Amino acid sequence: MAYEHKRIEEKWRKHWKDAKTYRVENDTAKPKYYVLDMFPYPSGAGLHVGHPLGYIASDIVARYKRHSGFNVLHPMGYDSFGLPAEQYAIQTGQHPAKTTEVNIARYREQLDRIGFSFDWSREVRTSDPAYYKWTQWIFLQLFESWYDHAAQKARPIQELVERFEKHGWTGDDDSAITGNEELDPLTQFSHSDWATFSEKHQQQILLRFRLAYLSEAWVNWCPALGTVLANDEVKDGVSERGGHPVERKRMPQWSMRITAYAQRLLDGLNDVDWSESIKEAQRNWIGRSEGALIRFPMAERSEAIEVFTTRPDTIFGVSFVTLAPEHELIEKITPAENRAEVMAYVTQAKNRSERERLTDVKKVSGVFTGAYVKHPFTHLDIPVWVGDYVLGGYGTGAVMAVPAGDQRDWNFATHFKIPFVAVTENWDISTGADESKEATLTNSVFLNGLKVADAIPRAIDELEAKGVGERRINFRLRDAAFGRQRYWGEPIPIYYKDGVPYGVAEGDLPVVLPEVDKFLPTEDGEPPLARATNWNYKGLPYETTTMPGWAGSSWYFLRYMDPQNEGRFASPEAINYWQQVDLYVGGSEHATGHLLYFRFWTKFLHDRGWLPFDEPAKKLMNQGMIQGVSAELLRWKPESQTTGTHPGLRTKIYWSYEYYLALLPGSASDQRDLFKRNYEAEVARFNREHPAEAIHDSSARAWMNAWMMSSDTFETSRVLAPIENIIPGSVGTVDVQKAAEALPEFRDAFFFKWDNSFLANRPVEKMSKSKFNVVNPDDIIEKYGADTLRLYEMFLGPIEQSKPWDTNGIEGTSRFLKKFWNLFHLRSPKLPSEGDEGEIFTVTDEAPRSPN
Amino acid sequence: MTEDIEKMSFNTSVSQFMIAVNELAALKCTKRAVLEPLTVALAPFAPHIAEELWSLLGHTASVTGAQWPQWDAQHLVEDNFSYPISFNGKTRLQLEFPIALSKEEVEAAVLANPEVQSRLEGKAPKKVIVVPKRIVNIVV
Repeated sequence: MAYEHKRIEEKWRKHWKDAKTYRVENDTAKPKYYVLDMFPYPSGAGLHVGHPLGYIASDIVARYKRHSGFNVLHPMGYDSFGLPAEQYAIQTGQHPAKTTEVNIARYREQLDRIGFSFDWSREVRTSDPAYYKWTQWIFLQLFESWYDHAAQKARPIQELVERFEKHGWTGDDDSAITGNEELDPLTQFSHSDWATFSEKHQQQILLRFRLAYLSEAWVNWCPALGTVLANDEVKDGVSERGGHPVERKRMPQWSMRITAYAQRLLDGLNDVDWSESIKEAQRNWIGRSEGALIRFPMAERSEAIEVFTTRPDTIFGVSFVTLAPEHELIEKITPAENRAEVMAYVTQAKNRSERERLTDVKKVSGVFTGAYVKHPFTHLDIPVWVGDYVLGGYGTGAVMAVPAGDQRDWNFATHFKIPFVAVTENWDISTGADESKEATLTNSVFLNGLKVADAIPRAIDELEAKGVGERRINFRLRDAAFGRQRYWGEPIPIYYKDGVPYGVAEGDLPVVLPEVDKFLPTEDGEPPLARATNWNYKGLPYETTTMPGWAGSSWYFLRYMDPQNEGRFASPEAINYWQQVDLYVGGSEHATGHLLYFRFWTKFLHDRGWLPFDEPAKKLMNQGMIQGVSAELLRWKPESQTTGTHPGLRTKIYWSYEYYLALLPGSASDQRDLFKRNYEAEVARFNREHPAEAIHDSSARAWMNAWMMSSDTFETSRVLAPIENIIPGSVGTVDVQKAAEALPEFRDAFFFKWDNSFLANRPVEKMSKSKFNVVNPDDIIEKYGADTLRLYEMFLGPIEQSKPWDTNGIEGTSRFLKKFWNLFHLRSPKLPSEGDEGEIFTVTDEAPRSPN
Repeated sequence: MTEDIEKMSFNTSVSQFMIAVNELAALKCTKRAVLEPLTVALAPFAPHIAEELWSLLGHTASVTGAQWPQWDAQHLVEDNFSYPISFNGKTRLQLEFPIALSKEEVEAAVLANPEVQSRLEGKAPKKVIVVPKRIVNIVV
């Protein structure tokens, strides 16, 4: 038999399905291995050849581990709530559940053809009520928990109530971090106050401690999408999806107190085998900065000036202190003789915008107040200045100025001729500040000889020992917005009584997504769920926002362990057997979204005793992207120049607008010939006069192409052509007629072309339907087979790198499999007509060595 | 191969396969003891063809449960070693000898080599140092 991939692949796919070959049980007799793919959002476009890259890699590992004696959990499912289905519903009226169903069927068909060893009996869909019942349950646990900062873990809210009943709240307790700095501070109360508070008042206080909480907050509101977006969904002021403008708006908003976990999310990175780039992205996103709050006592007064600095190691380089013009102490501390001058400066400086003050670094302005503070270690007098490079809203509104270590301080000191000393070794302070974190300290008493990284904690220790400062940790991470003004998501299991949110009883879950007449916000701007009729909790109104896309994906790895369990999200036995994901495979674009939330929920579930581990995935592999080759037609800009000059030709070659018009399809061929004749005549004349530099037709064309590509004669806005319209073998050109047919909106536009082709750029970029550069795996499988596709995707290059797809290269892989087949098959001289493939199965040694 | 999979260096795994299959094809190898483990090793990458060949080899159970082949160290040993031959510490040429040769046999074979003899210009070397599987240094 020849190698017939179609017959073989169909046969085995059916066999695997019928024999349930990849069904896996919780078999405690064998060691376990859990290999998980990030599950896809089932989009209407289906899979392209880039999608399976990670799935193939994880499938290889899953199969290899099975051969090596492991009981392997290798499941697949769908992250099936999401915006595209909803937007399609808004446009067409088709229910998102229906669209999702159709898309999932298509995905499944495509996935099946690639021969993955998924245990489909464990499939999960985040939009299935039996699944989101548990997403809602986890939400309720978060709602019913607070974060005990002293113990560094989440606890039941009831424990906090008990605490209030016994001790009230003193306000200086670290556990009472309310997470949202934009709220008014909570005032302290005694245990007897607590007892007198109304239920509503008590609930409002508790809401400020819950891990899932409602507050008035500034949110990223996207009017075009009609919803609130999380910080990681906003890039450069526009929505990541669709690029719509995003504005800041104050509204009641559900949030998740991920900030409580900031330090643990950082520390946990040390325990997992993830790439340094993902870890670094998470570290930057969390943005921990350790610094110190330092008090500089006034020389002749009782006040002290507080400064926050991330470089307390440079404390011995402080040559002055600068106050923001807004600083409240200025009026108090300025001696009478300086007052007029100082206050005049303050008034003038306050009028400049913050932006102007920050960006205009060349213009140095400031004034000496006439007051002095004492250095906390040397006790020397340090002058206090006012300068507008310090902003009132940042830190304490005052800085300790270290000209040798900070360029802005250096500019200020140099401008006003304030003396200062170097605090780092081998640095010439006349050239500027040494901001290097690698430097070694000098002129710094007990810090001399230390590297910056070691000197910082040492300096803070000394400040704390002397009682003149303390360690301060700041995080960039903000609490995560949780409620979305959308239809196609999990309903938040909350109802309102007397304007206060309460959790739906566990026994009443799931809160099923109600039917609505339209998938749009109501006329008065309420979310789509407000349209539902007779939808309430025992007569009380439900919350109408839904959960964000990341909710269902933050715990799905647990559901695969025990997908049919109706009484728990997964049984303790299943969790104890499967434990953490051993290998997690997916794209690196989820670094600061899914991959952070999924760690956050795991830590929370661990705190509350539902999980024995607090990191979800031991090892993470980020596959690269398989890119497509697009075509961008160059579009003529009529207002731009119409002639170009060859660097070798002294006279201009005329290619006027008219000439190009002549090249449009359907234009008079004589005009076109005229252009060509003119051009050829010009080149011929040049070649006659300059035989040594003769231009050949091809080089003239090449030059012309280069000129057109580089000049601003063509619009930079992209016009994309369908990939199938690229003439095979003629890279850089597009079939004129086909492209014009495919792009009717541009039929009248003027594109540059030569002979019968449009000129095109061919950028290598992400595959997407909108760029017409998608390669469908179905076509490849039809022609070469799934085994060839799998091998070829692996052969393309290191799995973690991005690389362009090249269908031509697949032939080699296809030949390899035929050769492999032929190792087992003898070529039969009697059957020459069957081609050159082996025909007769001929492995010689006797049949199976071991009955298997 | 095993190491490449563990490291998830799948592109090099596939290249190794291609090399192996080319060599086996050239040898016209039809040994079950070679082809059977090779089928198992290919199964994670190309499961359909592996299943088909596995069943043609006479197995009734899926290749999925077949044991991963263990590599045999004795087959991985290279038979010869190419020694750098140096004169007073400077490498001048390379000579390949079977690893099985003793120090004395290597020394004798090196000194018998015509190119080495011409470099010695008829003089006897002061000393010949043979470090097995590393280097031969001739001190003149």
